[in-house]
Parts: sequence; C-alpha cells; structure tokens
Amino acid sequence: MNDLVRIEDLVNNPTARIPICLCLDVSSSMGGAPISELNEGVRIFYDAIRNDEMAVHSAEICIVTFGDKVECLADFASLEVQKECPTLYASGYTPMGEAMNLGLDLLEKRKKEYKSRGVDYYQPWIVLMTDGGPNGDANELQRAISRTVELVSAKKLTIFPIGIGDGADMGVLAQFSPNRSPLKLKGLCFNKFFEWLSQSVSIVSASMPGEAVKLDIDGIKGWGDL
Amino acid sequence: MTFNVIECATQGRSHIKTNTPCQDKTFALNSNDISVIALADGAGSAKFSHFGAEIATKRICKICVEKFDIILDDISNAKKGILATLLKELHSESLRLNCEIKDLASTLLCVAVRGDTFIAFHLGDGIICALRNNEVKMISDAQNAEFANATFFTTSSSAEQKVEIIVGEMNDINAFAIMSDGVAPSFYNKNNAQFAKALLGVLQKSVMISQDKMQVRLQRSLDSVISKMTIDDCSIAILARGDKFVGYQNLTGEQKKWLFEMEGNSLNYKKIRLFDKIIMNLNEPKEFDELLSNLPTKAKYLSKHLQKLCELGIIDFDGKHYKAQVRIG
Repeated sequence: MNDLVRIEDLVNNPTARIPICLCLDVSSSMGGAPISELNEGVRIFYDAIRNDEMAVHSAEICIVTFGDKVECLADFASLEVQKECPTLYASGYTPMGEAMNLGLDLLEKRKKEYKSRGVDYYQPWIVLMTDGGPNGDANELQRAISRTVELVSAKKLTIFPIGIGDGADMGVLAQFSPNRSPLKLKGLCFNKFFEWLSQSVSIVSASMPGEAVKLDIDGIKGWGDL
Repeated sequence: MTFNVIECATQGRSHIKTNTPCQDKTFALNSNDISVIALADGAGSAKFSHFGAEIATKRICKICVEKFDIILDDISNAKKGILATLLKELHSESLRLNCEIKDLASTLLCVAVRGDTFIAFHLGDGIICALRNNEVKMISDAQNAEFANATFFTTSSSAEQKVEIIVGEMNDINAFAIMSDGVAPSFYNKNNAQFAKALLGVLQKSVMISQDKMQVRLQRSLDSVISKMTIDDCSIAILARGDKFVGYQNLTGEQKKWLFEMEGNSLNYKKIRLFDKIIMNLNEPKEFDELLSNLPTKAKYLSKHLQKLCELGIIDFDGKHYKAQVRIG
C-alpha cells in the first residue's frame, strides 16, 4: 500500500544537544601518573559517547584546561565533528577562575548558536577537576564563582566539582557548587568517573520532555567520596 | 459545516522497551454545532500521566462544547476556570489512584470550531496549525522552558501564566492539526519555521477523503514512518472541513496528480483520464465486470488501477462493489 506519509517528505530537525564542558587542571602538580590517568579517562569518555547510538548525536563536548595558560582544546561539538580526543600535558599554575570564565563564555556562545538555529538543548554540565588551589587572578576567580552559582541556582547549569588528591582545595570547589558538595576522586579513578559521566550523558540523551532525569547517585560511590 | 475528524496515537519505542503505556491521548467531540479535537502528552516522569492525559482531553472537549461563549467573552477568566476544572478532576482521579496530582501531569492542546469562529487552547509543547489557502500556518508553537526536557503541564504551578487561548475566524481555514512533540519534529522545521510537504498532503487529503479511510492511512503512517523518527510517543488529531472540498470533477490536473501521488514533474494525462473515468463511473457502486464494460481498458489494468485507488482511499471495495470515496461534484 502507498504510504500517506513518506520519510523523504518529512523534515529532519537536529537532535537536542547536551553541552558538556570539562574544565581540567593541567598544572605541573598533575604531572606523571595523574595526567596519564586523566588522559586515559578523557579517552574512555570520548569512546563511550562515540559508541552510544543516542549520545553520539546529542553530546557536545568542550575541553578547557588551566595550567601554563588557559586554553580551549576542543570547542563545543559532537564527536561526529571532533574526530580526535585531545591530549593533555601538565605544566604551569592553577588559574581556575580564568578557565571557568572561559568555559562559561563558550557555553553562552554555544547556547546562542543553538537558539539561532532552532536546536533544542538540555541543561548544560560543567565538570571542574583540580588537584590544587586557584592561584590566578582573585577577581577572575570571584567572577567565575558568582557566574556559576547564579546559573546553578537558576537551574540553568549543573556543576560537578571534583578534587584530586589531598592537595585539592575542596573549600573553593564548594564555593562553585551551591546545591551539592564537591566530591573527591578516589585515588586516581579517572576511568571510573568518566565511565559514570558517559552513562549519565546516555540517560539524559534518552530522556523525553517532562522526564525528570535522575543521575545514578549510587554509581558515584565507585569513584568519589564526599 | 461538516468536519472530518482523524485522531491517531502510537506508543514510542522507548515506552515499548520499558513496557510503559502510550502517554499520548486524543479525543474528539461534536455537539451543540461545535466540533472539538484535543490532544495531551502525559509527562514522562509522571507514573499515571496516561490517565491524566485521557482525563484532560475529555474534559477540555466537554468544556469547549458547554462553555464556548463564556470562553469567547473573557479569555483571562476562561484560562483560570478551565485549569481549575481540570485540576479538580485530576485531584479526584489522584484520590482514586492513591497518587499525587503531579503523577497525572500532561500537556494539553485543543481546537474547537463553531461557525466562523475557532478557539485554540495550548499548554506545553506540541504544535497547533491550520491549513489556510493550501498552506500550513502556525496557530500556536510549543511553549517550552529553556531546556529540551522541560515543558509545562496541567499540574504545573505556572500553568495559568503559560496557557494560551487563541480566538480566530475561520476565513479560509480548511483544516486544523494538533500534534504532540513526538510528531512535531517530523512535520515542522524549527530552523526555517516551515512545515513539511507531508503535512500539507495529509491535511489536504483530510478535507477530500472520508475520515475512516484517512484514519486508517494516517495511523499506519504514524506506526510505520513517523514513529521511526523518534523514541517518543506520537499523536496527532485533525479537524478538516469536508464541506470545503470542491468535488473531484473540479480539481485541476496538478491537484489530481498530487491526489494520486504520482511521481515526476510532468502530468501523465492518459493515466489521469483513465482515473477520471473510473472515479466518475464509481459515483454509484459498481461490480468489476460492469465497470470494465464501461471503460476502454483491459481487465488486468483495471484491476491494478482499482487496487491503487483503493490504497489511496479514493475508492472503496466492499467485497463485491467498488464505490468512490470522494465527492464528484
């Protein structure tokens, strides 16, 4: 029988996007095993998203690093566009505020692009990982904290602040996160964290309007401590 | 005013996987010279939203039929009144089901027509559109919050601020369609604000072809084509002015080509002329042999053409007689 509606006569709107910014500390103290494990974790994250039928079309990953300089290694794009996973190198200081401001700026820019092109998007996520305390410009740090807290409080952003090792300034991480306490990575369990993160992205990418997305809180125990 | 009413809903792939009922519901009512269609998409996170959606569609249709003039008189008060009535009924249902009222949350879309006036009611996502002068026009676009999985429901505290009631004149409107957000992305391009060619075809045919035929064909398209484009439940309801069809014999060659779903740019006049003769002959029911004797074609070709016209819903076969399903003049 003839189809009343043929696929070629339908429109094809883009998949709703999930913007995820990884704001990563690559200061010199991350040298050695931590940076190797972090690189491996990010690679696992990329692979997991690439292998997920839904998430590969919806997740848009951005990587901002802070160390020698504050740098955007990968701007928001799906992994169909980002072919390679960037490699991180450790050196320099910990200009956390500057990096968070860059991440937030890129996020605002991307949201404007979504709106202008009629692309739907989910609540964005920022992952902030550090093994130390911020030593960049104090005003920039305060500005980043204020911006983040404002967005999180208005339910316009989800932040995952994660400390690495005993040197991580959990107090500063807590200032970025008004709703939930920062988590401390168990040892160097970057792999487990990024596996959990990719699974969380999958849950969101498969969610439907009106569906409250519940993150796998129990799963956090595999990689993080309060 | 004679309306064809078509309502279809189908369970989405994600709900098939989790054995969750289809949360999209549609309803239609015709009473007091008022024709109404309604559609509700139950909230994914609400465990009894399929019940809530069903209640909302039935209640809004009843309200429109009973209080059409009251809504027209004071839209602002009508919003309050309609939502209060819906919440009261949802509250009763929550007591029956021993659940919270938010477990019955759904969006709600509705179009009611009386004479030259229509009322459109819209809360949450989904789209209300109309066929006007052979173009599909937006009546009310989705009301979403900023993020993709957030919209407004009958139980939302902000429902009264978010609900839209639009009153308009029918003028050249020949059909309305209301659709859930499972269907809307297949029929509406958000980037260029254009509706799909497929929707124009569906609405035009809804005016011309009997509602029973269209119901079968649209449900099949929803099940086999549109639902494949999403994991969400899909639903659509159409209210089409059957009385606006000019009659088959007044259609142009281009309109017939489109009705017969002929491929290519040029008109196949020979085939169209044969279809003309078949359809005109079938203004009254006829058996195959009688029809064959009236037409300059061989039995095997006639059989093939009759099969195609049946598939398109333009003619019907009751096992013995063929009969045209479109008005001739």
